[in-house]
Parts: sequence; structure tokens; C-alpha cells
Amino acid sequence: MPRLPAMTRGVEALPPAALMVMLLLAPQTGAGASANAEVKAALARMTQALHSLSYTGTFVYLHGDRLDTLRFSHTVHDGQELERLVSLNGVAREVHRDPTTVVCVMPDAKAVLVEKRIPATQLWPSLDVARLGQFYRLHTLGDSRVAGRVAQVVGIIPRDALRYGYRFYLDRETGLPLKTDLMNEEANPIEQIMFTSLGLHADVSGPEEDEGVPNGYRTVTQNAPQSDQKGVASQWVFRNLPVGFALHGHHHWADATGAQVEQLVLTDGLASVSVYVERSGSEGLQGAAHIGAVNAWGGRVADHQVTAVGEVPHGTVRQVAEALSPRPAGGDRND
Amino acid sequence: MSWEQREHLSSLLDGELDPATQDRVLGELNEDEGLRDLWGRYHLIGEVLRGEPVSHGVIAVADRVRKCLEEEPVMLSPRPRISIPRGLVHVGGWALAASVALLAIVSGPTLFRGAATPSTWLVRQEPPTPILYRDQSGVRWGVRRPEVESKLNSFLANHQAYSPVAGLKGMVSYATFARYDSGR
Repeated sequence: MPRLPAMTRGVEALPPAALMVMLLLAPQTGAGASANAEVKAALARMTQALHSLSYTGTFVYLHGDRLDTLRFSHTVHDGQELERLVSLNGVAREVHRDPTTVVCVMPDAKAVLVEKRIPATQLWPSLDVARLGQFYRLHTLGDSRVAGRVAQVVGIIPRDALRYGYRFYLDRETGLPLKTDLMNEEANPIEQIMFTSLGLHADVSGPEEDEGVPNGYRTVTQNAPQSDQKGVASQWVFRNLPVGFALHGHHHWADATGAQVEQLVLTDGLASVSVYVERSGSEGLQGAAHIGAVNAWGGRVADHQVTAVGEVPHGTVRQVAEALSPRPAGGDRND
Repeated sequence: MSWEQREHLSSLLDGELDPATQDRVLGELNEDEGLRDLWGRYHLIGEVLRGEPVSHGVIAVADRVRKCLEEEPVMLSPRPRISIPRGLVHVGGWALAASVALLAIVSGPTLFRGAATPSTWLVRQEPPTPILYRDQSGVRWGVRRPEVESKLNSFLANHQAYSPVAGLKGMVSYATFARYDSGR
């Protein structure tokens, strides 16, 4: 796979094999704890920068031999985050996001998908580095240069083939991720995102009035899932999940056609898989499919259509889907 | 900028550049603003040659078009407005336009107008023939069944909200969804 360049001046310049050797030889005791703390601090700074700064930029997205260019803006106005992502190749797909809504504009389908959001603060707590350490190696990997800026390199490398890892190149000045590599367990990048330009904006004017949807476009609104029903168990359980994955929550929501879907979300603390269960008669995926590094697997379980989706290897998403079974009478626990 | 660089950039766009050279060209692209401008122009030319109706402002062509339109007002046909609730969408916009020299701009409906980068979104006016989201064609997932593709798109968009990685990476995680893949 071709690689996006990062003008290196530190250890990041090492080839994957050498990088793996370095990671394997890295001390895992006191120094490991120190690295964990450093990684956690770097990721916290990155998250803070992503959500608090106003910036625009262009980035390239490389997966396999496919190279795409996208433009991105993030503005903060009156404490509200407004984001926009536009594909600059071919069909100009767009994604807009504000605190309550995600809007996907698809000119090729003449459609606008409006999806109500659950506030992120209700979704995930901050990263549990101690838990991550069971399934990933956490490392700081020196400095590099991306888009002409000095970047701190942080690695989260998976310990097995059940999940992907990440290598973030964080702008030393702002904390923003200038480059993000999706890594396999051998520390080889399988997907890369790199900003080729990035501009910060100290003063951002307010939003302008929305002028509506273009002619001929259909708007499809999907309501936010109902919140986790605390104390109400799902009618489904998982047996023999991939190591490290556990059920995080389940929700019910109506899809674009009004059909009820139950969503069960599993995570190892970083990677995640959503399993969607639909009633009998729903047409769905049979077997495997993927888009970029996102894999899906679908099949029939107890006369229901089951589809698992996640940015994890194919084997993992399939194993998660196949681990699902109806809750037996009298109750049972998830793994 | 050498002819060799131009040739390499063109080959990269066509997916015909050998992997050994790709690294070097991508590095030059990263460092050279002139090359990035050329990259944008090549994209634009490619889209025009392919007859794709919507282009983009990667080299600020749209802003130049907008400026021309402002300086020499053109009567544009009015368009019916389909409003989505205010507050759902109010994000800054970028230009999506075509070069005056290369394309005739038929009409100019605006979906989202810019905050940080004011510009106008210009798309080709087409008859209002609504197409169901679930009826979209596409090969994004390689399933080749529109209703299943549509469902998987919806699942993916939904899943992003629940992904700790998406929370970590921000909206860039939607790149998988937005990236171009039609006809691949």
C-alpha cells in the first residue's frame, strides 16, 4: 500500500518492522505506566483541541490504492460546534454536524439524510487507558513533520488481530491531529488521513440562515435512538464474543422506513461494533461487505435480520454477529 | 514546477503511478502549494470531462465565479424552497462550482451558505424528480443491491455516533461515508 509521507525527524521514520521491534522492546513497567499517562494526556489534548478550536483544512484519505481529497471545517460559535465535511473528488457528498443533528447530503442520490444525535457526553466516558492497555500497546513515538508543522506521534497498537490500532500525529502547537494512521497488529498502516493544509480561525462569524434543500432532493429524517433503557434487558445475548469486547448499551430506533431496529453496541474501550437486529422480513446484508476499513457482516438469527458494523477486522465483526442469540427464558447474561 | 512533476501528478490522479514514485509525489504535494493548486485543477478538468454536474471550489474557482456574478448580475431562475427546520443545518459553506471557461452554469440554488468561507453552491438545475434515499444506486459496499447499500449507509452513519474512536477523531471519522466511490 502506498503511504502518505510525514517529514520525519524522529523515530517515526522507522519502517513497520523496525517500529514493531521497538514497540515490543519498549519497557512495560514503570516506563510503560509513564507512557500510558503521556498518551492519555496527548489524546485528551487532541480531543480538547478538536472540539474547542475553529479551523478549516483539506485532507487526503488513503485506503488501499484509493486516494480521496476532502475538505473540512470546524467552527465554534456561542459554544456550539458546527462541522462540515465535503468530498472534493467526484460526487460532492457532504456531511454537516451540529450538537443535535447530522446531515448527509448525497447529490448522487438526490437525497439529504437528517439524523438526530444523542449528545456525545451521553455516549462515552473518557478513555480508560488502563483497560486499553490490556488490548493495545500505548506509546509516544517522537516527533514528525506534517503539513509543515511539528507533530508529536502517539501510537495505539493492537496486541492481536481482533482490532485495529491508531497512530496520531498531533500538532505540537494546537494538539490537532494532522495525520491519523489506522494500523493493524503488525503496525502497518491500512488507512491514512493527512491534512495537506490547515488554518485556524480566531474569530468566526455566526451561522447564516439556512436556505433549504435543493430542488429534487428528498429529505429523510431519522430520529435519535431511545436512550438506554436502564434496567430493561435486551431480548438478545452474546456468547463467545471476541476477547475484550463487551456490551456497552442497547437502543431502539426507527429506520428511514419506520421499521423498528434494536441496536446493541459493543466495545473494547476503543474499537466498537454495532449490531442491528430487525424483525423478520427485513431485507438485509447476507455475508460480508466493507467500505474502507469499516466491515459489516449480516445474516439471519432466530428469524431476525442481524447486521454488525464496525471499524474492526472482518473476522471480528463476523464473530460478534455470530455470537448473538435470543435470550433464553429465565434470563441470561451477556459475556 | 517541472513537466515531470506534472506528468506524475496526472498519473497519480489516474491511478497509474507506480507505488515507488507515489511516495515521492505525495511528499512533493504535501510541501508545494503550486502542486496542490495543479492537483485541484486536474480534478476539476477530470470532472468536466466526465460530465459530472457538481464540482467544487478546491482552487477557489467558485469564488471567482461568485465575484463575477456579483459584479455583473445575472438573472437566475427562482427555485422552490424546501425548508428543513432552522437549527438543523447552519454550517459554513464552501464553493461547489465549475469554471466559467469550462462549464455553463445553469442555475444557482444554495443549500448552505458560508460562515467562515462565504461562497455560493452552484449545481445544475434538474427536474424535481424526488428519488428515495433507499433507492440510491451505488457500489460503496460492493453489495450491488440499492436497498441494502442504503441500509448499510444508514447503519454506518448511526454507528459513528457510538464509536469511541469517532469521538476521538472528531468528524474526520465521517470521511469513510463522504468519500467518492461512485463507479469504482
